Amino acid sequence: MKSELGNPQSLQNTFNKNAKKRDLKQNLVALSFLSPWLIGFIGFVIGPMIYSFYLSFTNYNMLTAPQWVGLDNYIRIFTNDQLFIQSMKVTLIFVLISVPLKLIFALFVAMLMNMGHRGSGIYTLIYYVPSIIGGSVAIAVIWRQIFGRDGALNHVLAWFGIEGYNWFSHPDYALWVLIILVVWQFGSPMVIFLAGLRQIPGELYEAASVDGAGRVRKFFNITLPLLTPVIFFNLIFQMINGFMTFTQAFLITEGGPVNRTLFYALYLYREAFTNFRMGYASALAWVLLVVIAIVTFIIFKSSKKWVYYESEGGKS
Amino acid sequence: MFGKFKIFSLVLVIMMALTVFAACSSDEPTDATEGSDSNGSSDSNGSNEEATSDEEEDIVLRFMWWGNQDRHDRTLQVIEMYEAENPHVTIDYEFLGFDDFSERLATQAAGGNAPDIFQMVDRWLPQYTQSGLLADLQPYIDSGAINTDNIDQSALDPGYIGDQLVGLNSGSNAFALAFNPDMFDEAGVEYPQPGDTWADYVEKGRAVQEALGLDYAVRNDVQHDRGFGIWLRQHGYWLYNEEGTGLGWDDDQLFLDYINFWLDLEAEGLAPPADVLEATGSIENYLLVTGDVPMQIIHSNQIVATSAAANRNFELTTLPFGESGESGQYVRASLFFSMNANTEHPDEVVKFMDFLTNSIEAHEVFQGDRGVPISSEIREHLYASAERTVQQQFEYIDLISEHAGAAPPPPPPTGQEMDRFFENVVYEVLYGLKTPEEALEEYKRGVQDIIDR
Repeated sequence: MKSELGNPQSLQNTFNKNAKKRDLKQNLVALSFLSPWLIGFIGFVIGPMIYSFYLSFTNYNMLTAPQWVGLDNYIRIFTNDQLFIQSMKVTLIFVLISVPLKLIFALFVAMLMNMGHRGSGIYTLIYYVPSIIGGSVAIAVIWRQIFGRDGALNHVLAWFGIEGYNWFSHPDYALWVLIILVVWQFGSPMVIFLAGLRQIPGELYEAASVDGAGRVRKFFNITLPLLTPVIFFNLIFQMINGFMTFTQAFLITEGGPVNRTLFYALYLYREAFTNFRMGYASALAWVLLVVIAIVTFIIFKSSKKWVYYESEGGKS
Repeated sequence: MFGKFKIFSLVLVIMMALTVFAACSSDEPTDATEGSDSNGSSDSNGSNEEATSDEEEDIVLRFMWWGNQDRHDRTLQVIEMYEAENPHVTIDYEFLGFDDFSERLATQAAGGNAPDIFQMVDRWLPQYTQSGLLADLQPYIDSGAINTDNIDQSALDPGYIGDQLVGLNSGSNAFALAFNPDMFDEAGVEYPQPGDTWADYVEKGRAVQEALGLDYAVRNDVQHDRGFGIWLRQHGYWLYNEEGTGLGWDDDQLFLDYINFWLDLEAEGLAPPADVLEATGSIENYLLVTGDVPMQIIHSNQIVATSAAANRNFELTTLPFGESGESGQYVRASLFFSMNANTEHPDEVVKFMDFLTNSIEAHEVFQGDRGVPISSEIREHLYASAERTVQQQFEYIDLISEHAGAAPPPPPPTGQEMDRFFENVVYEVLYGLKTPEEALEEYKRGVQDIIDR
């Protein structure tokens, strides 16, 4: 086709071309900005994930080449693995108890911090510290000391004439020791709740006061509904963290007594690095991924029923 | 405008990329040292000596071990001695706890960058040999590069897989009964001695407990190899069969008797309940150390750490014997040194191994931390000047040698998993969650399942 000057078609074409060029350039800039993350993501996350997916269909002891075994690993997980059932049970109980407790506690402290007393910034900082140091060896040692046979807790109980146990080596209580430790690390949800609380307009409370609402009423009718998006976020985040809990059990109880604190992540780690069954451990990891995905999906679905967004015009 | 922006963004990107990589590498210092190692440039990373020698090329040897702080300190001191004697060699070291070590070594072996020399335990030898990681040291023994003039062949035997010597015994070791002599004296009870039966053991413990008002008489030692394994050997069996393909015993009563023995002691208040037992597994918390029992079964080389933790002296004797008078006990290699088959400097590694094995100065520092030295010359030299706890180990290895039988075949590679599984099963009984009969069935089924996987 012959192009004529002023032909709108060709003008359109050159314009499109330029736009495309510009798009490409902008994309390149964007991509290059993203590249540190992208390279890391592909190299350290996606790559290993694909490899572990492959490994989950093999027998691999890290010393000899992987052997393809098809679905054997998955079949064993679901039909013939008591430790899988035990560790899944422990982890589910742990998540079901520790996450709500932690969120309630975090919200409670956040509300105290939000009352605007002097020095609440310092307290926020202090209460945040356990979240930072919580996974450390030092804390594990302290925890063993507090809940040990001659520990601080038993000394206090002795004043009331109660004889304690080694709490972390008693089948009925060991998991609770770890739950308390995790709930104590409420810092990060607390800070997020605090931010959420400060978003709530003060007029609402004033109006409610004028209408004669008490504190409890204000909490349930104003604070809680307006905070649901933040609760939702914290719930998802803490739930996923809960499923991946490892350090506390690894350091304090080593999965014992009698596997009562054998968290899923700890079982997975042992299969991989103590028993050298990298293939089986990979399969376990993928099962965990699917479980977390399903639970997250359910929470997301249910969120339509209970999470309130102001932008949606108040339909809850 | 746009040009400037482009340059600016490029600089930003580079900076960010660098931060990422810097963060990665500072997280894992080992990676950095490995990088320098494989490049062949020796003096960039991790070198703590300014090594310049005209004749010999500067090299770096990577050495990895597990242990407690005491072992780390001693080993670091020996490394410094070796580096001072051999200025062209830099030993790049890594030390970890046992669990971390097993993970690190497996990962490095899989990645093809295992250290040049590292510690091993018996149960890993078959698998690592099969994968070709362990060098055969026999040629270096034959050539005299590792001097064995003062070493008995029987001390080397545990390190063979087939006819390859894949692990060099670091020192001998055996299970032992440590007791607190002062408690026995005060209670006026005769010391435990070789030939005592399990019934004598309990009676003596009970006598001391009653006289001194101790919490417990004995510690129920329900471990797999040194508990149930010894018990089986005293009845003429072993945990596994010769090939390691199944159980080495078929009389259910053996297992039930073993568990019931400890259950009864616990019921009578002679042995601690399971929650106490579970929490007293590390040396600092040993009931013997805290003074709650008069005696406890340990590894003979732990006498050093146990005495240090309790800040007092203990005596060592053999474990109780079986009813038939069978001791069931044996001398073991406490651990091995192995050489990476792919090392670039085999001769230098061997020279260092020879130093670890035959150097008197090195062993004056080690003080028997990795077991009683296999070189008779060093044993003799060390004995006179050694601390009491070290002498005790030496004496004990002599004592147990009189009563010991042949060592059992090496455990299957899944030995550690088995040990954990056994303890779990037994603890379920001790916690009252299962009957001994249920535990027996679970144990038999589980062991076979683990072996067959």
